[in-house]
Amino acid sequence: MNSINVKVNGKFKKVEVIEEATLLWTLREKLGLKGTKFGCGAGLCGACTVHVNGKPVRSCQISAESIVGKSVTTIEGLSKLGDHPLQKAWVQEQVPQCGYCQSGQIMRAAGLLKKTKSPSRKEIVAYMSTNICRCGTYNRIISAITAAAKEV
Amino acid sequence: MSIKDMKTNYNEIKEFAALSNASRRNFLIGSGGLVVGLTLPFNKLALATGDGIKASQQMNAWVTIDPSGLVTIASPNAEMGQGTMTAMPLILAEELDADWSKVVVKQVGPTSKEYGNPFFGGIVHTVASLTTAALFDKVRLAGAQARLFLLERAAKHWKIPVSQLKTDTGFVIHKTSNKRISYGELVTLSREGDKIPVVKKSDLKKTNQYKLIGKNVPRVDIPIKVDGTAEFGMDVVVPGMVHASIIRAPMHGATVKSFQNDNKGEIAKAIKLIKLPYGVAVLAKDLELVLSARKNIEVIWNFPKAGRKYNSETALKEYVKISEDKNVKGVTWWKPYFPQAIKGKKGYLQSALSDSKLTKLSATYQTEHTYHGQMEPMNATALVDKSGKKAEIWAPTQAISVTTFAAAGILKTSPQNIKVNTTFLGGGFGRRAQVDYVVDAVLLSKITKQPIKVVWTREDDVVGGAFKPNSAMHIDAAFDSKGKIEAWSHRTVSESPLKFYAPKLLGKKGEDILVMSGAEQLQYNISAQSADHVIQDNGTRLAPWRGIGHGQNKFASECFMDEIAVSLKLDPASFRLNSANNPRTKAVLEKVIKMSGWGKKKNGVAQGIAYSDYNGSHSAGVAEISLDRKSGKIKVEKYFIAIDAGLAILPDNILAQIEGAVIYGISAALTEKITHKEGIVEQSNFHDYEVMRMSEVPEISIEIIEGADRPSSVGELGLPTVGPAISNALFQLTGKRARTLPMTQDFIKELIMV
Repeated sequence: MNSINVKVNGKFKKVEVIEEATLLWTLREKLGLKGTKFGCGAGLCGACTVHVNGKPVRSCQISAESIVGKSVTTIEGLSKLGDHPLQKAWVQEQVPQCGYCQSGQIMRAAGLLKKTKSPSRKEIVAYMSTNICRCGTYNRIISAITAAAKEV
Repeated sequence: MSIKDMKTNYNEIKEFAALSNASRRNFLIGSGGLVVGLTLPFNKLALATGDGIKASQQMNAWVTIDPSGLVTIASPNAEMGQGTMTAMPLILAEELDADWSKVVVKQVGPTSKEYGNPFFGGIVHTVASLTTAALFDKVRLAGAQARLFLLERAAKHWKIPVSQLKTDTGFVIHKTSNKRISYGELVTLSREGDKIPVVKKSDLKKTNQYKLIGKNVPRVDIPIKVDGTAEFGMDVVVPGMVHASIIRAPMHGATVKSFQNDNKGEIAKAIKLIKLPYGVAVLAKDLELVLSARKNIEVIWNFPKAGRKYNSETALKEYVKISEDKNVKGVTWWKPYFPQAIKGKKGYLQSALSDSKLTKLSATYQTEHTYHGQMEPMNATALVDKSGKKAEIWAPTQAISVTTFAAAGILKTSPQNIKVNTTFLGGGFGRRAQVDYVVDAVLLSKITKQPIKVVWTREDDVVGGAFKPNSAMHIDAAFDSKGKIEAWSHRTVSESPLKFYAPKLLGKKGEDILVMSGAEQLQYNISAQSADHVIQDNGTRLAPWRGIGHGQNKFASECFMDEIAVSLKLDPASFRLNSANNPRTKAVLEKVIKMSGWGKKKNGVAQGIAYSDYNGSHSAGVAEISLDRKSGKIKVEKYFIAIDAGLAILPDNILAQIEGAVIYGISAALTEKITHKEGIVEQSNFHDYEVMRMSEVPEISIEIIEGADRPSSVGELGLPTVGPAISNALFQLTGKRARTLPMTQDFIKELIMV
């Protein structure tokens, strides 16, 4: 077990992790941040997407150690009251079905809006195709991102 | 089999067999057994222990009202994204005339027989898109009963007859004086002399009186699904919990011969290994340690000989041959469900099929195994108490009552001793109608006497998955020159999922609804028809899959309808319209013809049409596709679909369900394929089992027709038209007929080169 200091959602925490610990399981199991989901463990589905230093990454693919000295944001830290424009748009457009992939979708979309203020449909599709939604909420995700872009 | 039989027979359930589903008889016959007029006693506990004035009051198994006016409505079914947690309480609130802003929904276990689904012999089981359809009357009556109770209490309080009172959005009102009293205040009044009101179906609201139904009320589960707080099975934490991961047998029936543990030092000390017949479980407090340690354990398996021989590619070729072999006898598909099969003169079907005055056509279709690919891998948490006879389970499961039966079977106790907490499900699609993941957790907790959370990896979920069976369908038909179909004979060759996981639910002769649904063509004028199932057994793991038999059977029958139309030089859409025998089928066809601008030809783009019913609902779809001839890649540019699922409870949610099912269907039709080699699944994760991503999603247009004043199935309705509509469009585009699913690039390349 290694002891590492991490900064997650603006707070510093000390956690004990195994040598090959990933950011995903560290967030979920050591910090109780269950909003970040385990989908494939192979960087294929995007359900585990969080931000490291403001950029979306797949937390199942990066080590816990690699985030020392960096800042991590999870769905729980995206907004204080769950009222980030994307979260509001997600409710407005009634996006989620089962909901399991949606934390990852929202974090990915937040990454897009940081980079591109008002993305075109084409840009949204290109950027969001990393994330799988098996319920098929894709068209509603596009609508929600488009709506949120007007608010950001 | 009745619910009583299921309970008394649970000891016969082998520990590792996953029982599921319910009464086939009730499933098929339908709603004849619905209770009219509830005779529930009030919750005596609430009456006896409440502090009189301030206590909330339980009206019946479904609804409780507190003095502040908060209305708590029970939701016993699995919420997997289909919206049951909103739709069912909404229906109850409609009849209660509740203020929706004061309604809270509570997920409850299968604790009351009132929650049971009459289609499934009275158990709580969230499958086959039949929750709303089956429980519609039950929850309406529960709401109406609670409303009448409040009316009677107000009448007693004001000492006036009930006939002078009405309700409006959480209040009882005196019609002439407009004096009002809230539902919250009413529950604080004296309970002396309370009677249990009896309500009848005739007391229920008429469609034109609905205030909530049909109004696009937002789903109650969505806010917690955008801030990370919704609790899925994967998120369950129980104090003292130990994590487990199982190195699972890569083939059904394989057992552990031996294993080698190469973990050393601290890790070796931190983990515990438990040998199960079907795998080796690795346990530790730290989940990531478990996942890491299991990589250093190698298991040697005893493989069942028969299973080892299974090769899905050669098997499917064999199925095709069998489907075309007239000497092979199959199991006749369910007659009561299939009245037209026995209509007409005896022997007419065969004589029409050999009538020289009629045109004959035959074709064979095939489909591959598909995987559910639900985003949340299988998992469950269980705590068996020290006595070993009681357990609490936390599980994302569609098989809620079956979870109690399976656990009771393992612990040799009564299902009443099993408490189930149903979490949110990260997708179901039929996979969670089984309980193998629950069995894992209960077995390990029984052995360790600790709370155990079992987590499957995605690779476990694929390799240890239970799939839709692969299948070959052969259809023979005879018709006249105007397109009147005289005879239609349908055969499906495949394994049987029910035989695999719930053999008691098969028909007397082995009829399996999970394979054969949709093999009946009830909505077309066909003088005589038959369908049969030639059952294969290759020892693979099988499960219901979204759309069940309709997936492969409608692919075959709706492609075949096109083939008949083409052979007669008839327009495929008009041919279906002319063949339709009922107004609801005609209406969805007419609607989709209009929506899609059917018949307009564009360069490089073609349209194909298909129709399907599903459990009393109707759908007609048009796929507009293009094709990259070099790569063989089909792109669905647009999909139009008109549906009629009767009364639309939450119209926007219906749109979401249909859209999701269309996407699920396109994904399956174009890329999804599980293959087995020597009995072992060859795929392992989303890199080699590709599901649809945003880049492939077409524009989807949906229109809802409400052809009945009751709701029918929605969740799977969007799926069956997709495969045949795409194949039919491909024919329009290329003149080549794809009779195979999935229509992969390699397959299409080869097809169009011929």
